Amino acid sequence: MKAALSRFPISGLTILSVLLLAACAPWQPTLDDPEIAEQVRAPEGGGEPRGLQVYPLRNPAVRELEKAAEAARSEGDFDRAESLLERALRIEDRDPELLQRMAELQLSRGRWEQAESYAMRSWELGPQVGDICRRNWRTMALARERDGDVIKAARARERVEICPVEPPERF
Amino acid sequence: MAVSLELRFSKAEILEAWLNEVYLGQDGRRAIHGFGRAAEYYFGQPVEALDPGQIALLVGMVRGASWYHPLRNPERARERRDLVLAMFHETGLIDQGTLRRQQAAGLGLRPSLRSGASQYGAFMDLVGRQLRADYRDADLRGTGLRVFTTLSPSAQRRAETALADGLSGVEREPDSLQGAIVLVEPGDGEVRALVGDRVRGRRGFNRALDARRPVGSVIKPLVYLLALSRPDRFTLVTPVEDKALTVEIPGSGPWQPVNYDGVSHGTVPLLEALAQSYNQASVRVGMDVGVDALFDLMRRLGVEPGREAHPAAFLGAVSLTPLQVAQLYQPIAAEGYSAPIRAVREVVDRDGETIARYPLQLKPLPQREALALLDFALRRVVTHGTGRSLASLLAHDPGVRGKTGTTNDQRDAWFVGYTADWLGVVWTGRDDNRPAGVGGASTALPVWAGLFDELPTRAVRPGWPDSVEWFWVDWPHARLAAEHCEGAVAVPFIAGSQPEALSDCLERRGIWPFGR
Repeated sequence: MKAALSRFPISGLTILSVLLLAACAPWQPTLDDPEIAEQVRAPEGGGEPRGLQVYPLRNPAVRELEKAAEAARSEGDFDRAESLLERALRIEDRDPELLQRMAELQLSRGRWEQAESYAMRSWELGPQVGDICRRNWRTMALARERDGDVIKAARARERVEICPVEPPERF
Repeated sequence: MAVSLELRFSKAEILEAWLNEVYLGQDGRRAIHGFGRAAEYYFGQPVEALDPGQIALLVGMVRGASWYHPLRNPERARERRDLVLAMFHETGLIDQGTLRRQQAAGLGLRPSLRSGASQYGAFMDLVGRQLRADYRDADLRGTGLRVFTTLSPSAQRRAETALADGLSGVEREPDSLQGAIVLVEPGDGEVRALVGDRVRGRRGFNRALDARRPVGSVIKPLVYLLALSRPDRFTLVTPVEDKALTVEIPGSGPWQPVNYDGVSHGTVPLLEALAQSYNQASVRVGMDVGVDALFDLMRRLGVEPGREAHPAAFLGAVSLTPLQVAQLYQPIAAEGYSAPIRAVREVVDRDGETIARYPLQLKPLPQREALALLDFALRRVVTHGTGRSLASLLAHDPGVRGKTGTTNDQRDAWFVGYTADWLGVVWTGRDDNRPAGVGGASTALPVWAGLFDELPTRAVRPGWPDSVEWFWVDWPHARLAAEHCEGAVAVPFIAGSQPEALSDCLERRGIWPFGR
């Protein structure tokens, strides 16, 4: 499991959680953990997203709410971020990007089950390729790891790998 | 008492509390407490917007809300109001001109007050119940809370019209039938409209919340869901016997279910048994699943089925309210994510502070794969099954799924149907519970279609677990086929549970369906 984690930047908190997991105690969040969501977002290699990407057209009201939620999140106001994302989801309850953002927010708040559910929903309704697919499965992997389900977490890690779809070769 | 109050609170505080609590009449079964509520009820305006005459009327009513009631005793109310206005003038609150103008004016009541109609009354019943579950009555009256509800006024209007027009269109005797509609947004369980009476705005018995009626075949999808959650035993093409059967019931002797049309249909695929709502086949499936499992599932979905676990429950001998039926179908309509049905989103106190929020939560049901199969079967109900008349009732079909239900002697008729955006439950029947000549497809479905024809709907790609796979099947046999085979139907399976036998169509041509 450590090997699987080491591909991502590991914060002090994650190391602590790994130690706790090793002791077979489900990790209880004592504080909100904004960095965990960053692990999800970082595209592999740190650069441009790889492979085929799908960017659907989005409702402008939803985009505004999403931006405001992102701002609240980066200021650490998770309650407000959550309430803004909820409002956006009331407009577009099937938007994969919104669902994934909610998943990442839930991850930051240590609500593993909700994080996994939102990420799964995002994957089901989303393009199932490209960057968002990797974020979906990485969130599920982290949420399951933190929740103490190492086997299901490893399975999610494998899914991260089959997400990229190479763009079709053109001749 | 008065002394101890004055020791603790200022005169202004006491007056304010009193103004918020004083009894000012009755709105149906609800008491009207406080000037704020009374202003909304009698004049349809916030208290700040009232003119001196309207305020004087309310002040006058404090002495006896019924004695000085502006509708029942308008003359008395008027005299009393004029007296209060005169006192306003005496104390210098208003000038001579205002006094004359106000005394000459009418009572300024809202027009709809006379008809006894209170807007959205049925929906507000639900709001009240949800709030009372979380707060004490006194907290709800006194503190000037603002409650953000989930009502959609336009959907509510359409639902009221659909029930009134729909019932007039299908009943044999005028005004013999009653009905109820619950309209929910499946994804978050928010109630958008609620109709508890065919007469718009009439207060009284709220059938959507309080009419407990047998649900008939509307229960069957839950039975089949439990069956389909065991892919080793059941798939949509598993052959089921629709033949006479006798079930021994300990303590009450044998029970012999019959079909709606009195005919047994022999061996049919499970999908067909549900789409055509065959009773004998459904009881067979049910006996395999068990009544206890059915009741457990209902409880997990938040609906108490009662104590008597009789196998007749497989055919819907369970009495539920339309709201409870909506709760049972919510996760089915939401691709397997369950959410409590609710009418309140947020409660904010006088200072704008949120004191209660009902946040969005995604709770996947363990039977999500089986739900994908059930969803397909409920589509089949409206394309090939008991709900197929829908096509002639709906101008545009965005992929409706649904189930009809009719109870013994045609006393109750149900239709529950959903799209990606809406879940609608319709009940129709008679208040006295006599045979009503109603049917799920003939009475409830037209009401439902009348509503859904007016609602904006989208067709969307559903999101199901990736363990659900589609195969061509040699319908109605449990054999794999291919697209080119005659009569082949594409059917979803939980991966690995598809039939192994191959259609003659493949054998004859020597084609292996999965490549080489």
